[in-house]
Amino acid sequence: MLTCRGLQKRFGDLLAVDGLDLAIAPGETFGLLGPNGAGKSTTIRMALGVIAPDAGSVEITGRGAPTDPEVRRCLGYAPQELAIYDELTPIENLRFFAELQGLRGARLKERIDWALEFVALTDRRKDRVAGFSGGMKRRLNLACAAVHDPDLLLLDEPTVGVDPQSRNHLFQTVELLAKAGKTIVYTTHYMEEAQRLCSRVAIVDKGRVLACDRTEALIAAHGGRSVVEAELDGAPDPATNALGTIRDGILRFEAADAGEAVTRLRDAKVNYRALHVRRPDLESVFLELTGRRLRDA
Amino acid sequence: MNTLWTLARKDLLLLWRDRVSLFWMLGMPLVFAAFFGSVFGGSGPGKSNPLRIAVIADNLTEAGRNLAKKLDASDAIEVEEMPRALATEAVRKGTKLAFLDIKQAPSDDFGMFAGQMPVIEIGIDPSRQAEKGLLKGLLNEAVFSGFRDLMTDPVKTRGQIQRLSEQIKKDPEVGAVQKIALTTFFTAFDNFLGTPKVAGPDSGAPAMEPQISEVAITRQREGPPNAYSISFPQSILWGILGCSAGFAITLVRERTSGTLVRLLTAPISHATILAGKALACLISCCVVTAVLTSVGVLFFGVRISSVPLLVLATACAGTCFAGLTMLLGSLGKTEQAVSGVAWGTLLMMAMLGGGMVPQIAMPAWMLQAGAVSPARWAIGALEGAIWRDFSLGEMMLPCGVLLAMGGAAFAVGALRQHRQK
Ligand SMILES: Nc1ncnc2c1ncn2[C@@H]1O[C@H](COP(=O)(O)OP(=O)(O)OP(=O)(O)O)[C@@H](O)[C@H]1O
Ligand SMILES: [Mg+2]
Repeated sequence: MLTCRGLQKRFGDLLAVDGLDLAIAPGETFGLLGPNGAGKSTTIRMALGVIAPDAGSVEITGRGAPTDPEVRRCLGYAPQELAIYDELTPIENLRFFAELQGLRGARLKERIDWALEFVALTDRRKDRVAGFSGGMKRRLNLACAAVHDPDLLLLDEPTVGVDPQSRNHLFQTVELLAKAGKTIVYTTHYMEEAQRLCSRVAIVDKGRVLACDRTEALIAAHGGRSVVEAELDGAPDPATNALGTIRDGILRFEAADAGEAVTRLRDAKVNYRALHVRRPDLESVFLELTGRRLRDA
Repeated sequence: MNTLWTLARKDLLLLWRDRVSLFWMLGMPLVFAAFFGSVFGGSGPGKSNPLRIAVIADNLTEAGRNLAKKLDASDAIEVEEMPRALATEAVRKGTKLAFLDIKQAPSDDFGMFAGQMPVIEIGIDPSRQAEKGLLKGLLNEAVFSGFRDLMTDPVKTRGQIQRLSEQIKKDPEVGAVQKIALTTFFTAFDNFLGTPKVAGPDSGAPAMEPQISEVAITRQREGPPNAYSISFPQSILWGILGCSAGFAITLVRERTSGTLVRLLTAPISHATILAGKALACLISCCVVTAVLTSVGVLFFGVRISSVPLLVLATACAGTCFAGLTMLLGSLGKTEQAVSGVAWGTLLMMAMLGGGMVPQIAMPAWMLQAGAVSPARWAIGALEGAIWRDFSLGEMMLPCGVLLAMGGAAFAVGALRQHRQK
């Protein structure tokens, strides 16, 4: 559906995107996961044909380059910033963006109604956006990207600055789009989002793709082992000490999975009150690949 | 075209909901027009001024000059001698109400009595009936004031009649019969004048009149009928400046808020997006002009001399400032920066172009310097259509300059925005 080859973009001295390759298949929900400044938004904008790459090429498979206005018709874009007009109502915003996409008449009305329903803003359709919560604005931002029923949706951090409830709502919306057969490119620096929504994920840092695969495959390849934490009951004996490190009455060691952890604890006859097994996730993958955490926090 | 309208309609809707911008486009100009119009209203040009008349100097005799002096003595008339060509031009331009060509004037007061009535040609716009009547009255008064002196001062008259009689008697070219007839007549008249209380001021004007002929000179334009005719074109300019600044700011807002990127992903070109913005700006300029003009006409006695030319002037001024909007919008990265630069630039233009000091009150050097300011041409075109009575040909200069300036600004602005995007 979307193919990027050797994309490169430089802003002054900064190499924002550095030889990036992507091949996204029709119907998949593809995650671009990376920390702030990784070059995700820049990549998306090159994929949309809004900014020209210094090197490399973008192709919407079978249709051509996105710089061609006709090719852009099949693209929907939800920018990272809230790109909607605060002084207009949801209806007016949707109508404006849909008309720019060439929708008219009955089809226009039908799509606007669909979009309002889709992001649950039908009740507020005639209120000015200025009075909306962050979550509602995010939903409208997404609706404006989908209103013209594009095949490929590029969603740039669609959940930034949103409360958990709205975030959940947004997840469901994206899942609905995926179920409807849309191809989705989803950028985020929240690994939980990528893990929940995306069938495949590319981990990007400093403008390069470090790894790209199905989520489980990435974790299996780069996530390492599960981290086991056991709250000890009583003083540790030498066998317990040999199992891992103990600090503040908590024993830590790595294991392939929960089953192995329990077996090893039983074999060493460790008495414990509680057990936590943290399975490796994309965060661990990123840590493994870059030596850094996804978010500085 | 559909897309352009979609873009423009969105901007107009946003503008409608932006009360601050609306105030700059409509409220402030209206206050301006009403305030300055009323402040200067009392001394509207041409109200208490004397009639300004040119006397043609080409073949002016001493007697003619005396008559002119008599006219000039009146408070109601101000006379200036000038060659015919200049005088005709002055009447055409309206700097003089009329010219007088005094072709013949009696050498002295008595000559008039002897049948030598003045022959005067008046050059005046035929439509100026009232002023023409007034002028003829004043002219008659000046001509006959000498004659009246004559009739009310019999001593002076009798002396002159006797001198004339003597001259006739001596003149070899006058035949004997005529000499007798004339001497008899003069003697009778002498006796008549000797009769007390026969002549008085009331009988001073016999059924003789100066021969006054007219030359029609169509006046090019009239002065502004009232001060609002000056303050309203100025206020329209301010409204247009308000539109320009307002839309320049929305251009950056579009960039900073991210909506521009979204627009760029639609199947339209960047040029179309900018053209949509310019169209919205042009439409608001036209609406502002229509509203301000209507208020001026309905409530402030502004008369529009040509509605089609006003439409033309508005379209050209709107196009010019819509083009400038593109340039102004490219001169900063934030709304505040663009707002500052835009208003700074536009105020300078307004100042130079007659947005503050009216063009008719500007010193010549300032008018010349103002030629670089689109505001000057905008007011020029608007005044041309509102009260200067421009012909279509005369509108071509200001309108052409406006379109050229606007086109250039649009091109440079669009190029800069394209680079910045
Ligand atoms: N227009 C620009 N001019 C200069 N530098 C830019 C521009 N756009 C992006 N950059 C820089 O390029 C780098 C990549 O930016 P980009 O927005 O693509 O990152 P990102 O992965 O989307 O980050 P975030 O998660 O914060 O959105 C950053 O260092 C950014 O400062
Ligand atoms: Mg980003």
